[in-house]
Amino acid sequence: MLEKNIFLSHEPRNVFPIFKDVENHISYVFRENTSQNPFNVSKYIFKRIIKGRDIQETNKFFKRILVDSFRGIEINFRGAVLSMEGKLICDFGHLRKVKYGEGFDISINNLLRDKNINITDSQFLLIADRGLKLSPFSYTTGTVSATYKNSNGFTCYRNGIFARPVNEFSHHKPRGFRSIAPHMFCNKEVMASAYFFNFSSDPFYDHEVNPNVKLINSANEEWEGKFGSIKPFGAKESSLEEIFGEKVINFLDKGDGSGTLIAEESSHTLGSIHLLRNKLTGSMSMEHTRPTHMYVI
Amino acid sequence: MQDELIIDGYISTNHWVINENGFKSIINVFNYYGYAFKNHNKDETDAVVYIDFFDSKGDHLSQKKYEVHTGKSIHIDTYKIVPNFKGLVSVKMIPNGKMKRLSPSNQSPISTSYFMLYERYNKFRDFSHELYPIRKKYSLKQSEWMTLVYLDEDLETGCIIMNNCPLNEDKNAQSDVKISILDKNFQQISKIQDLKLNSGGSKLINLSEKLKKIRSEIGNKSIIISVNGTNIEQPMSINYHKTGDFNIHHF
Repeated sequence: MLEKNIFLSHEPRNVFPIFKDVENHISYVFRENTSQNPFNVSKYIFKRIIKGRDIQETNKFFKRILVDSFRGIEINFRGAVLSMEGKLICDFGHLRKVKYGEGFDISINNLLRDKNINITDSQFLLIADRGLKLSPFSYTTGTVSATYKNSNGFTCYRNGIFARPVNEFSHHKPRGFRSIAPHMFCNKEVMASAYFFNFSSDPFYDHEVNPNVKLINSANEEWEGKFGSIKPFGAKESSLEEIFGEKVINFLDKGDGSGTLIAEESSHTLGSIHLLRNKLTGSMSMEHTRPTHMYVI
Repeated sequence: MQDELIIDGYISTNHWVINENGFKSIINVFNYYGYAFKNHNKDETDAVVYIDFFDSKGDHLSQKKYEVHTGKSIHIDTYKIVPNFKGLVSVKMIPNGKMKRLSPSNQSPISTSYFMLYERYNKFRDFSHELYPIRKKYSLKQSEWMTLVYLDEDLETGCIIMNNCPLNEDKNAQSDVKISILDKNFQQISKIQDLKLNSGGSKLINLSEKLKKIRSEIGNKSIIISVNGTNIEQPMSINYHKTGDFNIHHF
């Protein structure tokens, strides 16, 4: 459970990994200009009124987005650190304010050092006080970059932050989670891992999850395994070797190291990224997955 | 000609391939239609994956087809098909049953989810999800993309700009692109670079020399790269670390 008001329902938010042995950065550029252009916003409102509007698109909403487009939008970002077990380690409160065309780059390591907190594997919770979409719920600010640097390498992945209900059972029963990663890879030097977040838009969420995983090699043989349990608001990274044992290298060797990992959880939704870690160079890479059923709806 | 990229309501979805200077690109596609179209049998959800390559001038080089059974994957080493190449790649996976979208109100063509795995020197790896469906019609509207990049001494940085309207012979389907470098308060700190791309064309732009000069003036601060243009979707940033490690990711 988190504090009741750590984020409000309309505030876009997301969690990003913090790794203890690298420089962890979060950066953002406010580049969405549709909501900043009075002509475009007026055109949008006109179209919605002529073609028919949704029930939430009230006159008050239209007035608000029009005023925003003249006045210019400011977004205030806040941040907090959660442990891998889902406990709040530190709430930084207000971090940055940005207007159109402005950006920020925050060193999470410096934030933690300033508070005399050791940098451990954990999660950074980024929260914005508003979104930018021309919708009554303005549910996202656009893309945020999570960057990881050390003397061995540099990697970055980019993902949105959203104000949508996730694992919020009073709002709806989640349909479950499936992540499909056809880009898994391992050999003696490189090992892939999956990293799942058990996040919720309900601060009182208290469900632990235990996803099932299936690994498919290029000969279409399948191995099934258990990813391991993840506490509410917690996160967990498990490598293919940790899930399936060291013979996984031989298993994927049939496809020059390539394979597909499918993770499933029947009644909860998870955030999902995958990593490749090079044991010799110490470098890593990562990317999020997206639900494939979204492509055909 | 462009009709080849949208077949039976399934649209080609773009990414970028590099098979030179120590890089290799591997396309990874999983046939997820068995999950997506639950009420259809396996014969209908089995699929054909079409892969089209466009060189940096936008010329269509080749098309490859692969059968992918339901619940199975393919991992295509593009180096074996287009060695010493960099350019756009379009991928579409069409189920044999040619099913329509689950939501009848959504009339847009179905794009394909896949991942690109990049290898460098057979040692360093990075990967990213597909980028965007191709555009059938050109647009004169300016798109604007920005991202933050670092000026660290151990990093070299570039960006990859791609035209989103391949196989379109209309002159308006080309891209006119302006690239500028801004500080974090939206002030321009470097001259604009202009760029023209053919339909289906793409370009890897090395910004290292420009950024080195900026670093000597403002130090190791981060800055913003802004890309404005017609017929472009999100560009990608490319970072080369001095160890050989690298990162390629969309803005």
